[in-house]
Amino acid sequence: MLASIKSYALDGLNGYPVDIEVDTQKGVASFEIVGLPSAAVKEARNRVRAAIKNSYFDFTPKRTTVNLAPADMKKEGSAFDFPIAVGFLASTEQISTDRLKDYVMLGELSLDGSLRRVSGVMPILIAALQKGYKKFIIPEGNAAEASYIRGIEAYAPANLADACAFLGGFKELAPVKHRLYSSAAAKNKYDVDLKYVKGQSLAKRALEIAVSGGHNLLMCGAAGAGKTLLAKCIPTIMPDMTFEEAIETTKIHSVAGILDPEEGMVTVRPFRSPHHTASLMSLIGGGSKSVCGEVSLAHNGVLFLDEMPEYNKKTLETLRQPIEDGVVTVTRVARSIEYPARFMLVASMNPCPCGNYGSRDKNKQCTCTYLERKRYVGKISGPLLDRIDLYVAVDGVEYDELRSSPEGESSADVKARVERARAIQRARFASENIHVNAEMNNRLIEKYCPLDAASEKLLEQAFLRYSLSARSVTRILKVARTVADVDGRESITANDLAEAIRFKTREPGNEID
Amino acid sequence: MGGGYPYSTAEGILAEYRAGVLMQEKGYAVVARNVNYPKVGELDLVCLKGKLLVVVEVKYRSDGEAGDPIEAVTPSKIKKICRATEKFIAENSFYDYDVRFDVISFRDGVPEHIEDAFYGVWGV
Repeated sequence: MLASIKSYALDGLNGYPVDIEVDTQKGVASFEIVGLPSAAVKEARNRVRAAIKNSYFDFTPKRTTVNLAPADMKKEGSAFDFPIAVGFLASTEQISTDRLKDYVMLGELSLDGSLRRVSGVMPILIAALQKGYKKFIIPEGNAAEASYIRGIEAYAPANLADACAFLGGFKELAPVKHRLYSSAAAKNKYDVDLKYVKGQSLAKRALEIAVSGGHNLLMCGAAGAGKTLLAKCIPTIMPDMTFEEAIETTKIHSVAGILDPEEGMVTVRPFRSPHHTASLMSLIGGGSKSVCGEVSLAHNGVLFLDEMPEYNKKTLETLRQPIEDGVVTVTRVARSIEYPARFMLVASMNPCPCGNYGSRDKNKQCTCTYLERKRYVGKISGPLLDRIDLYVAVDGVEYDELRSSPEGESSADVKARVERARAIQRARFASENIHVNAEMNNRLIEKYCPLDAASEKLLEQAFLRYSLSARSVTRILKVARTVADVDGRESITANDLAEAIRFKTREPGNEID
Repeated sequence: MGGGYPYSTAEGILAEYRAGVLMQEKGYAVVARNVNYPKVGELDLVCLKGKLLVVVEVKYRSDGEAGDPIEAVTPSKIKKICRATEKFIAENSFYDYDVRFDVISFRDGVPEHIEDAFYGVWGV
């Protein structure tokens, strides 16, 4: 007999429907899975057999053929276990087939018959909903992800026997309850706070501007000055994610399988800090499966590169295109997948190999030669530096400052200002399909960054004095826009522009010449 | 086993006979014994119960030898049994039957019947 079950598979972040056809015939038993299954899909037969037997169904050997249609797409992952098992039970007439065609089924089977969580459920549900599928049977562990999607009817049975009882109409299951996304779910779970960072008012200001407008930031300073601590504070002042942003990020995290099963949604902006030994593919994405990389995992969040010159030069250069475009297209022979990668780049570096160049401390003077310094800074190429909007020198703090009792501004206060600046930007870009100032293109800059005569003059001077590139000018204008937003000004003043120019033109290596 | 095939001891023959008796006691009808297809494989016992064809592999171990007799049913042996079974089905037109593979092992003369011991060409 033949049974057909609907399931879904992922190609990058896009789902496509998969028909699982199970045919059982009499004869010497076999269990073949065809339709380009990968190793994990082929192993399904072992799990399916054990799960069916341990759920007290009959697994009398049959000549079984499972076809995963469309047969020309490579199928990955273990989410087909459950539909294959249901298909087998239906084709051996152990369960009724009436209700099977209504549901899209996903899930990995454990040997005892319970349903295990699979990755990528969120994008699958969204893709399937767009295609008009509304009823799903998913593992219990994925229920949290499904609960955020409006308009679907998802059932999350604990095991195969429950699912079959439900499909046969012997047992009723309650559909997964719809949950409303609330950014308040992003409780403050950080053990750092800006108020514990003493001094560093300039760096804090740079952080605030960078976070407000989604600008890229490079912190340069001596070892132990507090660059990493400042960077760790960034998540605490990041604005809460909107629902759309959360869905975008959750889709990627769901595919990567790093989603919190309880939460079901990424509510806190991602802060990814890959170690400097990170390989090119881990950063950008790739491999034979074209998986997403750190730049995509940091989508709508922060990609923090500590000790930037230590990274492989080639790896760093690959960041140029995603920084500019906000997407990365991972192309392999088999397939080409576009992943969103709109992240805020935060990097830190020492000014020289010994780390003391430019330090105020008389006892910690730089011992590097001019050439050494030059070579060290030169590891980060000009085009990459050009894409960074704000450079800030982080110098060590004085003793009095360090041990001073009055605490600085807390992260919550700064966050409130950032939220306000972001609200202004959201209102401004309501019809533009972008979120923050950093994403403005030339047309939008023309429209939203008008300069008065004094500012125009200032920009011209800066252009000549610092030999700015065209891109640098647009970046300065974007930062100036953000500065005005942070301070709540309608139009950009000469002061805002001056601050933006100041942050843009202090790149490391500049002071050496 | 080497080149000689099949080579049976008196105990082996007795074990196969006892296995047949055991299957009959359990309600199976023995339809064939020692089906031998040279260069393909050999079936020790073929039984029938309703619409189910049961192919039984009998394993005998004299005492003193280490290991479970079931371990002697290796993947290559399974392959041979499957091919022989397919030939048997074709020659005797058992097309409309489910097929199950059992092992009856004798250890210290005590029989143990393992139903559905392996799953066709899939293996153990």
